[in-house]
Amino acid sequence: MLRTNRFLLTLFVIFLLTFGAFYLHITNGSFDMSIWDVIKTLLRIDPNPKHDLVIFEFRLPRIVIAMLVGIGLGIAGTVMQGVTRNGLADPGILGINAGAGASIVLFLLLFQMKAKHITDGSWTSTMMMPLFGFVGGALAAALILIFSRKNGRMDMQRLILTGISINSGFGALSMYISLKMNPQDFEMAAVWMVGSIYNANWIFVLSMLPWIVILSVIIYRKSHLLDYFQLEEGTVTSLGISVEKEKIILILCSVGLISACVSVSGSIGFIGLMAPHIARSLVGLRHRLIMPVSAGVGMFLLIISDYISKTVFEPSELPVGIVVSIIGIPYFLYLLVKSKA
Amino acid sequence: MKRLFIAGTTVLLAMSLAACGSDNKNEANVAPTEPATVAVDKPAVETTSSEQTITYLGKDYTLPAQVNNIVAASLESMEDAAILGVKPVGVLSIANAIPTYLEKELAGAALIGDKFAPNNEAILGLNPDVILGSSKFGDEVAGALNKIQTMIPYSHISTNWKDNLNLLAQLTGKEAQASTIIADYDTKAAEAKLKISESLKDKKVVILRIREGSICVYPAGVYLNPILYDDLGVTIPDVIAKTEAQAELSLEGLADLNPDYIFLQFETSENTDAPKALEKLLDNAIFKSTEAAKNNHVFVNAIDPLAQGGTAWSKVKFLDAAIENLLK
Repeated sequence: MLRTNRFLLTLFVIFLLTFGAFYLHITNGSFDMSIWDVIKTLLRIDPNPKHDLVIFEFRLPRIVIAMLVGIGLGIAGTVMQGVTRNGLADPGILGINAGAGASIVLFLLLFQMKAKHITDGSWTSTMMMPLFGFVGGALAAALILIFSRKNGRMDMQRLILTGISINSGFGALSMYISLKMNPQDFEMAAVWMVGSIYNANWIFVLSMLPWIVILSVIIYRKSHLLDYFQLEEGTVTSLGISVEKEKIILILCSVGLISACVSVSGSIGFIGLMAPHIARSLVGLRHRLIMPVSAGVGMFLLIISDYISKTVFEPSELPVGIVVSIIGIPYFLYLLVKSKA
Repeated sequence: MKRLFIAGTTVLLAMSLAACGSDNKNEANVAPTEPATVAVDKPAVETTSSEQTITYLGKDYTLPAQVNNIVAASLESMEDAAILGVKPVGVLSIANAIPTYLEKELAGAALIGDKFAPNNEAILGLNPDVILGSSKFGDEVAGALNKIQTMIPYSHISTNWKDNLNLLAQLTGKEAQASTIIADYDTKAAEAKLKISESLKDKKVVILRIREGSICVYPAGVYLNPILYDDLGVTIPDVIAKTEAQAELSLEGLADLNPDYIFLQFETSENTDAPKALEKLLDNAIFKSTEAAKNNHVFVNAIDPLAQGGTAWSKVKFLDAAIENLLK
C-alpha cells in the first residue's frame, strides 16, 4: 500500500516537473512572445499566423519529439539494465545507438537522393527510417550478446568492453558513409549524428509514435519478467520461464524503441543510463514500477536538456546530445565509483 | 515519503519562481516590439497583390514586390552581400559573432545561428522578405525556412557565381554594380591569363586546404580551383583532375605531386582537434622537400581562410592574390 502511494506520488511529481519543463520550453525562444500570446495561440483565440508558426511548427514538435525520445530511451535503458543485470548498461554505451545510426546513415546515402524525385518522397523515406535503424540496432545487439558470452553466461566486463568497441566501430562506419554523401545529405547527417532534435517536425512525430506506443505497451506487459531475471539463471528456468526467448523478445523490443528514437534524434546517450537509476532510487526494485517512472524521468530530462540546448547560446544551437552528455558523464563516473565501493 | 514530498514542493516552487521571472522579462521585451510587428504586417497584406517572380538557375520563386529585409542564411550569400554593399538584416554566426572577415561590411546585422542549424525563430523575428539559404540545406531545414518566407537555395557551386551575384543584385536594384564587378574580374583574369600561361607553362599550382588536421584537395570546378584552372589557364595537375569531391591528400601524395606553387588555406575553427596542423605541416620534411617549399612559393592564407571560394567576393580577392604571388 505504502509502495503504491509512493509510486503514485512520484509519478505526480514527475508530471509536475515535466509540465514545468514544458512551460519553460514553450514560452522561451528567439522569437519574442509573451505568455499570453502563447496561451492565446494554444487556445486558438484570435490566431496570428506568426505565432502559430512559432508554436505549432517550431516549438511544439520539438517538445513532443523530446518527450517521445525521452520515454523511448528511458524504457529501453531499463530493459537493457534488467536483462544484462548490469547497472551500467545503456543503449548508447553498448553501441546499439551507433548500430542503428550507421544503418540509418547508410539508408540516407542509398535512398534519400532517389526518394527526392518521387513526389512526397521524403514522407515515405522518413517513415522507413526507423525500420532501417532496427536492422542495424538488432545487428549491434546480436554482436554484443554473442561476444559478451563466456561459458554460456553473460560476462559483465566483456559486455561493456564489447559495447565500447561496437560503439566506436559503428561510429566510424557512420562517419565513413557520411563522407560519401552529397552536400545536402551530409549537412543533415552531420547535425543529426551528434544528437539533435533541432529539425523536429510533425512527420518525425508520426514516424516514431507507433513504435513508441506499441513497443512500450509490450515491454510494460513483460516488465515483471525483468524482476525474475535478477535471480540466478537456473532459478528462473526452474520457475518455468523460457529465459532465452523472453530475453530476446525484450531486447528486440527495446532495439525497436531505440531505432525509432535514433532515426529522429540521432544518438543521444546517457538518458537510458540515468533514467532507470533515478527511477530505482525513487520507487525500489520492482520493474513494473520502475518502468513508468523511468519513462517519465527520461521525458523530463530530455525536455529540460533541449530547453538548455536551444537557449544557452541563443541564437546558435547546442546539440541536445552534447547537453545530455555534459550531465550524463559525471553521473556515469559517479555510478562507476559507487559500484566499485 | 515526507522527504520526497518536501523535495518535490521545493523544486516546484523554484520552477514557478523561475517561470515568473522569465514571464516579466518576456513581457517587458515584447511590449515595445508589438506595434512594430503590426505596422510591418499591414503593408505586407496590401502588397501581396503586387508580388514579383524571380527566376534563379531555372526555377521560379515568388517574393514580395519590394524586398527590404534580406536574411543571408549562407556564407556564400553573405560574401556576395559584402562585395555588393548590401546590408542583410540577419546573417549566420561563427562562434556567436559575425565572421570576422566580413565583420565590417555586415556590421549591424542580427545573428541567426550557425550554418548547420539556422534559428527559425530568430529569422521569423526579422520579418524577412526573402531568405537566401544554401543549396546545401537538407529537406527539413529548407522546409521550415520556406514556411517563414520564400527561401532561395543559394548555390554553393563555384561555377554559378555570376548567377548568384546577379540574383542578389536583382533583389536590391544593384544590377549595374554587379555587371561592373563581373566585367572587371573577367578583364583582369583575361590579361593575367596571357602572362601566366606563358610564365607558368609546365608548372604545377595547387590550392590545399587543411581541415580537421588533414590536407584536402578539390576537383577542378570546386572551391577556389576554377580561378586557377579556368580563369587563369593554369594546367590542371593529374591529382586534381582525378578528384571527384573533397578528398584527403597524403604527404606521400603531395611528394609525388611535387607542386611548384602551393596556396595553403588554414582556418582555426575548422581544425579544432588539430590547432597546430599548419605549423606541423610547414615543418614537415616531406613538405619542405617540395619544389614550392624550396623556392619559397608557399602562400599561407592568401585570402581569408573562411572564404567560400565560389563567390564574387572570394574570386575577386583570390584573383588579386594569385596574380600578385604567381607573377612576382
